[in-house]
Amino acid sequence: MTSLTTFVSVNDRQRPGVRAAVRSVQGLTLILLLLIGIGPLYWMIKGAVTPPTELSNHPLALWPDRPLLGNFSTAYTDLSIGHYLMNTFLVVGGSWFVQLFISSTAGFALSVLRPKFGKVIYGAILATMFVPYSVNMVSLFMTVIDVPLLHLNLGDTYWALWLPAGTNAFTVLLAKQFFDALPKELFDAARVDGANTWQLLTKIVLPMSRPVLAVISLLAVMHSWKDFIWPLVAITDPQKQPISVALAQLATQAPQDQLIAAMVLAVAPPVLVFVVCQKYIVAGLGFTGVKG
Amino acid sequence: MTLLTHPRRTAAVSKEPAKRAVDRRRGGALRKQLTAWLFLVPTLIVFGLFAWWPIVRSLLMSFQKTNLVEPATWVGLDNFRALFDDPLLSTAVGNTLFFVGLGLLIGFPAPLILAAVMSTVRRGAGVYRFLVYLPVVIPPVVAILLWKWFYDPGSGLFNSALGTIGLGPYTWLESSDSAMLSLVLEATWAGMGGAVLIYLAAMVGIPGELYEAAEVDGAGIWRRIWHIMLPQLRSVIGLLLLVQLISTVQVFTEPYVFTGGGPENSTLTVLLLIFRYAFQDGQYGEAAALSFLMVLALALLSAVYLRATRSWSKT
Amino acid sequence: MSPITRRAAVLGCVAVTVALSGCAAVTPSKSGANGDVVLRVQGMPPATDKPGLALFKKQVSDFEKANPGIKVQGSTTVFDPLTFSAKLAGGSVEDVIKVPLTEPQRLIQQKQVQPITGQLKAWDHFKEFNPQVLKPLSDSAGDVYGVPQNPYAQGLVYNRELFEKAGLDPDKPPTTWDEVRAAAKAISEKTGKAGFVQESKENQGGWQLTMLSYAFGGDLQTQQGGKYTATFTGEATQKALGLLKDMRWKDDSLGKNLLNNQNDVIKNFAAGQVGMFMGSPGTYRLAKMQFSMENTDAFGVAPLPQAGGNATLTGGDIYMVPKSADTQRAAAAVKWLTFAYAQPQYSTDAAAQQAKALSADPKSAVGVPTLPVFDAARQAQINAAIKPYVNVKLDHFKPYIDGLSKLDLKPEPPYQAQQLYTALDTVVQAVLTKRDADIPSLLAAAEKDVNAKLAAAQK
Repeated sequence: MTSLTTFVSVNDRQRPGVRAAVRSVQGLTLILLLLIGIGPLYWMIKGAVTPPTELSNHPLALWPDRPLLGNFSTAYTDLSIGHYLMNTFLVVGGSWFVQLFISSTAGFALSVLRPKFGKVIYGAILATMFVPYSVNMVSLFMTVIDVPLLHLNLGDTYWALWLPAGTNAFTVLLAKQFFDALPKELFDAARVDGANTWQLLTKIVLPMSRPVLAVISLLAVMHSWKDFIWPLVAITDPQKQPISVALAQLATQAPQDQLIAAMVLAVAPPVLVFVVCQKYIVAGLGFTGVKG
Repeated sequence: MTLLTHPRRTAAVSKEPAKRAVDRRRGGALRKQLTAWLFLVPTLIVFGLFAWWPIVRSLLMSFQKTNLVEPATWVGLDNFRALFDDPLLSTAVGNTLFFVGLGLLIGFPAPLILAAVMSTVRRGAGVYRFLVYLPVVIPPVVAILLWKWFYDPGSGLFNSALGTIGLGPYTWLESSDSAMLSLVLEATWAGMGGAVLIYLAAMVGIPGELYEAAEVDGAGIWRRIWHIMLPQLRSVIGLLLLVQLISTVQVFTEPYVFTGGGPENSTLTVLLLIFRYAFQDGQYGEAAALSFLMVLALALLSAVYLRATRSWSKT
Repeated sequence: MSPITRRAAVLGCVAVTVALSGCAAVTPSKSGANGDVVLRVQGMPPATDKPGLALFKKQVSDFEKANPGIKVQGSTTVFDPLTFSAKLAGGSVEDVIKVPLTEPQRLIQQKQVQPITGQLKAWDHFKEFNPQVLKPLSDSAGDVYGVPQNPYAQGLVYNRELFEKAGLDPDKPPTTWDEVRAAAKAISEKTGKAGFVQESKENQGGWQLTMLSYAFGGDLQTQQGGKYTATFTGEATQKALGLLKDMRWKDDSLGKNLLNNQNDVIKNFAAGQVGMFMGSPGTYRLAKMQFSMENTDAFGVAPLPQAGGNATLTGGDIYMVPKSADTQRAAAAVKWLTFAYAQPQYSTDAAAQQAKALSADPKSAVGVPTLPVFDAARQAQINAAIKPYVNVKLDHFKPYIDGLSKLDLKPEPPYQAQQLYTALDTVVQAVLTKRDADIPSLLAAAEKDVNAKLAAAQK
């Protein structure tokens, strides 16, 4: 993967002193990464299966004498973690779809169709790039509980999370820039073949844009899975809260070992997805050049 | 459509049909415009309602008083006056800047160094990348609750482990001197992975010939890092610096879940103060005023960012 | 890919259309299919509380039979001060809300709830309500805004087992704060657990400092000429904080975790890690049902220890009707309040029936003492009626019941108590986490800040 020559050259590596130094720095880094990468997850699993008294009496034990697996089922049913995870899947799914839909239609319109004043719209979108909706949580909340003109109350519904998720200027930018680079001749050819604008988007542009769609999806899913402040404000019905908000409430309402079991369950889906799709996720990040 | 607009075709036919063609062309252009705008409708609705209007509304609400039940009244600069009279404002701004600064001090060099080491790894590079990114996929609330447990002064991992080598006990979250540092440590751990991978991608992209040429000129490893690698990474470093600045200015989840802003308001941040004004005290006007000031600050940062990227792309 | 994308896109258009036109789906229904009044009420127990939920459902069906034309929809939503105003503005608040006793005065002053005196008077026994219990839910003109349930006075909850381990007599809990300090020191030295735990965050630090001040003879707010001001710098409050400071820095008997809210404290108490804390008998329910306290026999409660104030703070759950309920639903709401909360606390039959239903589940807590909602004679009759179903060790509540009558029951600071608490939280945190905390200047600073806010709000 890496190019052969970095700041440590091939010649350097043949010198025993340098080689030993590089090796040991690499080794120490690996140990450090194991500690900060796997360590906390391992400790969380250990905490979830340790009885509370043992947890406070032998905090450094690597594994409990009598591991308790019951905490997972208690957390799943009694603390309703299963239910909250389901809520989270709904939230993430809807937010992902809205963001993908908005980014691709906006990118398509601004890059391929280029209406008059499109640049103005694009500028207005980009202007919000660094003003995430959480900063305006108060006015956004008031907008959501009484949508202007329509007078809908979206509070305590997932629309309150899904629709604002579409206002991600960065993914619009990604889509537009990617579409800008597509060969224009293809569009003309498709027009000649009688494709209408909708078909142009779905048959030509989108299939060619899988990489950027994947990256947008990745960013959308990660963002909505991790979002905390906005769901905290917008969803007050405990039955509808996503897992992150529910966990913050449970933190003071559940016994410690059950809480940790709940945390393990909450962390399992994203970690499993990451383990499976590691290659794509890492590549996708390189593509965006920005943190997720 | 392309055929219709072909100039030679229109020239070849008589005047009457030519006029019709122009009409149709106008109609076509109009239709083209309409279609384009049609595709923008969802975007305009969503951005209009949930991005642009809330920003404007924050500004309007800054000059209003409302308890949400009775109609809002205009109160001029009262909200801003109350805001600047509140000693918590300077506390919150100070704490936020402290978090940002400490975050840069700890969280900025760490990923660069890690990425540099990882760029020299040839076998098992995937393992390094996997490990370094793992904390990033943990949802923030889980990560914070986990660290809160680690920080527990009695039975927490940190004090227990440090106790065995005769250190501590440390107060971590329980004292105003160390609480913010504890938050930054967690936030750095949680957010570092993304930056490492981006640096790594950029480092891999540096042409090997540059290093080789430097080596031929007799530059040692340190000089190659200093004179080749860092200058080559300049734009990425600048970009990540700004992204980190902008994201840490908005810190909320850490203080909210870890400490609730305490002890003694030492972790009260601007966003937490906005939240408190609005949803705890019902002072929506003051919350909106503070939101708007925050938007201004972020806009300023964005402007700096845009200007900086423009000058980088020129060089 | 493309057919899927297309289908998804079509679906998206459909979704957007539905979203923009589907008003009916997202706003709560105001009336039933055939013109029934649909009454949405908080206070439905969660699914985990099976006996409580079964009881609630039975009450609903009995009520609907007795009041045709009204349909009751229970909600497990609990009152959240953070979002209440906003939800009220959005029109999504239930028609009956259940709030802790800390809230009614604020809600009344902000005009977010409506008076129900008129209709409540229609109930035969309205006049028999304990006036002390109604006072915190009334405005200055005497209008009543709610119906109380399980009112209590703050006391001292203690772990009887830790008392024994520390060589203390669990039947003779401390009655003065000097005794509390000595007991806490003994517990922390002999058992290694926290002797006494003081809450310190989420406004509960200020709340607990208020009750502690009451015990020392202080008050945190005064009214002059219709205006309220905070009075933090009184001698009583300084002494109360001085006690905490000594316990923390001289005796080190407050445990290692110093930033706690009430749930943290009860959770640790249920796990046997806490010797004493200021709490009500009702915390027994939380310890047993929510934090699965195994050794419930260790739960003991005494009246709030004193240091010259001879007073304690009251609390409880209050059911109120928010402003958003229209006349029709407000009338139905009061009917429900009378039926579900006033009557069972008055009628011995209803109380016995409820106790019987609840006691069927071993995880329930039946017989936890409360303050009388009506007069003492009525309460004695009710206690006698539920006696067969009591499943808590009444002996362990005896010190509390015996001692309570001697104390003056005081409500919370009447004006914007939460603002006071927020400021006092900071003071409590400073005393608990800073060895050199200067109590008088901390209190003076907090008082100044709060009074600036109170003055602005009363302009």
